[in-house]
Amino acid sequence: MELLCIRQWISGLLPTVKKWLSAWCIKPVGGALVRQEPEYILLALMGSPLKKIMLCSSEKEIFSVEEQVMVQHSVIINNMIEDGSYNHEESKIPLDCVDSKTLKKVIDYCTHHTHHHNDNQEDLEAWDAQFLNVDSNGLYDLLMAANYLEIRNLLDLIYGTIKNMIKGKKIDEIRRIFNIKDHGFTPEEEEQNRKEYPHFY
Amino acid sequence: MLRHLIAHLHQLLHTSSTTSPTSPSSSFILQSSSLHNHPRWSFLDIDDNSVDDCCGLVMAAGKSGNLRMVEPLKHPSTKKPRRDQSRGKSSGRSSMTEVMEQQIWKDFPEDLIEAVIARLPIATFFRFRSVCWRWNSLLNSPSFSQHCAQVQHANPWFYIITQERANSGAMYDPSIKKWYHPTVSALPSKLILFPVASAGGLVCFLEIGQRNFFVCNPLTQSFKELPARSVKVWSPVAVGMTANGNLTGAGYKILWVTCDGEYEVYDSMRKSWSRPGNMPVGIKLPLALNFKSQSISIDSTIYFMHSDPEGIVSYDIATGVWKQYIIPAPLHLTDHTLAECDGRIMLVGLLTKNAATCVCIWELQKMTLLWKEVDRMPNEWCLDLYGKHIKMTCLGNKGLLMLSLRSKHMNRLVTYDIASREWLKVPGCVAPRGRKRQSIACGTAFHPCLTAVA
Repeated sequence: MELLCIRQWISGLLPTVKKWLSAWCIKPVGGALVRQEPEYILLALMGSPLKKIMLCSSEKEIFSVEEQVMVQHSVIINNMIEDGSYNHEESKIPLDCVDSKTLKKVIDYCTHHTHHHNDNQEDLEAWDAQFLNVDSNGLYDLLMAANYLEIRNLLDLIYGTIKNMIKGKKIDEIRRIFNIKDHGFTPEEEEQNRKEYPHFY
Repeated sequence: MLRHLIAHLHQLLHTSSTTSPTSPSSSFILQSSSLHNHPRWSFLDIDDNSVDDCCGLVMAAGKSGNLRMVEPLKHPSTKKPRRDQSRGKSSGRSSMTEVMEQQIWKDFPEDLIEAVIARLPIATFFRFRSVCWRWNSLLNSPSFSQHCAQVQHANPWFYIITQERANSGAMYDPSIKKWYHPTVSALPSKLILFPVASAGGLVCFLEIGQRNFFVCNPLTQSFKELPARSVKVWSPVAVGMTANGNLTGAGYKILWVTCDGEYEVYDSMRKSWSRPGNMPVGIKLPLALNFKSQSISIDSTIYFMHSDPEGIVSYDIATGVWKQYIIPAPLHLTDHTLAECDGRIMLVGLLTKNAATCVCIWELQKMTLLWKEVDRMPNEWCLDLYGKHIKMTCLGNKGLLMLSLRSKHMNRLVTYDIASREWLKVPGCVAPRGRKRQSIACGTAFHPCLTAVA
């Protein structure tokens, strides 16, 4: 209970402290000076754990994750927390259309990108490539979860992957994959399209 | 009036200052070839300053309507677009080996499909239009426009006009290093149009003789002729263009200005030209605008290069305010152009000292209003320019520069990425069914946007 009060007191203090901390947020990490977010420094100094939120998958499994991580990435969760519909002590956010396996991956993605946002671009891209090394089912589920939670950068990443998967395919294959039955194109019309922009074919 | 036109022709087509009158390689009078079916189409021979040839060219442009330079090619000899290499954010999936199961993808939501299609390479998009009628009509779909607006293309494309075929252009995609040659130009073929500015995925063309403006999306070839200017001026104009925002429906504005301080702004939403006012008294007229440098636009401000005094003249389209900045140019500088990258104002030019020539890049220090050299072309490449009289044309000045370096026996194209400081060679622009590298007269960079409508 006492811990809760301290935590709440810290959250109340944060906006003011943020201002004068933001100028000199430097924390020695492993011999190198690294910029850290003011909240982390303040909370680390006070010795309190970072605020966590509970996410509940469709299989009723509960995942505890740092609030900051999800708020940074998911527009939906950010809105829920900002408009006060989420009570930290009692509620969990139900995500009925996301299964546990996918939710875990989404949380992994958000956590990694929050904690490693200062890494260089190549390392991040390599990590992303490894992250998306899943089968098609997994990729589809990730896409649906990212779309539901409105995680912009994960969505862009997955769109890019799917784009790479389809860009070399023939038209008939595309129709088959996306189950487009009545495409409405006669061979003459297809030829007409080709003649309109022959240099792109 | 004719003399004005001729002077302008000289100015615009003069790209090489070779002085030998007998050298055949710089003559642009074309042999009768399959590309020509009109005997009066002869290009200006820049070594021979006879007025008659110029007259011939100008008269031909004005006359008949059957001046189609290029017959429609049935089988372009250019290779089919190579499968794009996955770059950067590749997840390691190859489009060749991936078998996508219908079971998984058949219920793919339509708005997400649009987001994926908006990210396809441009050539692939045009190919996939034939998948179904819905995909075919995406170019007109507002939701698809929104998705396109969110896609950040890493590099601009370049639209250029070659000296050999002045009324149809070619496009270059730097990310796959490929030239595209539209065989049928949407723009009226009897006109010679020069790309002078671009913004928001659209390119603004100015007709030879400073007559009319045209705006075109080079990808979809949708184009529009702008209404005539309210003031008929025959003096050369400098042109700038800004987009009103990121969304494709937001519109654009085009500004032209002459050395006498006359200027007008075209608003695409109102579809009309307007004269917002006069040049402020503080700016000394006549302006010595450097017409060889293209303008740049950062947010709502357009910047033009000024020769005497050296510096920049800028116009903020939002506030209607003209400003002049006196900035001393680096010494021994020729063929310099303005460029921009992420809001920074840059200068690119040839530095020639004794016989050594080098391409250098400067950045404007806003506090001191001085140019500071930030990069130069690698030494090995500069050695190729040693002792030669080089003319440089900048064909694109937005983030990625394309530079044409030409001398009597050299015709080289390079790109320079300002952000990553990378110099790359560009494959020569070769016409379909041709083998010879074409000489590029002028060009502009544009950000490829499928849904931009003129």
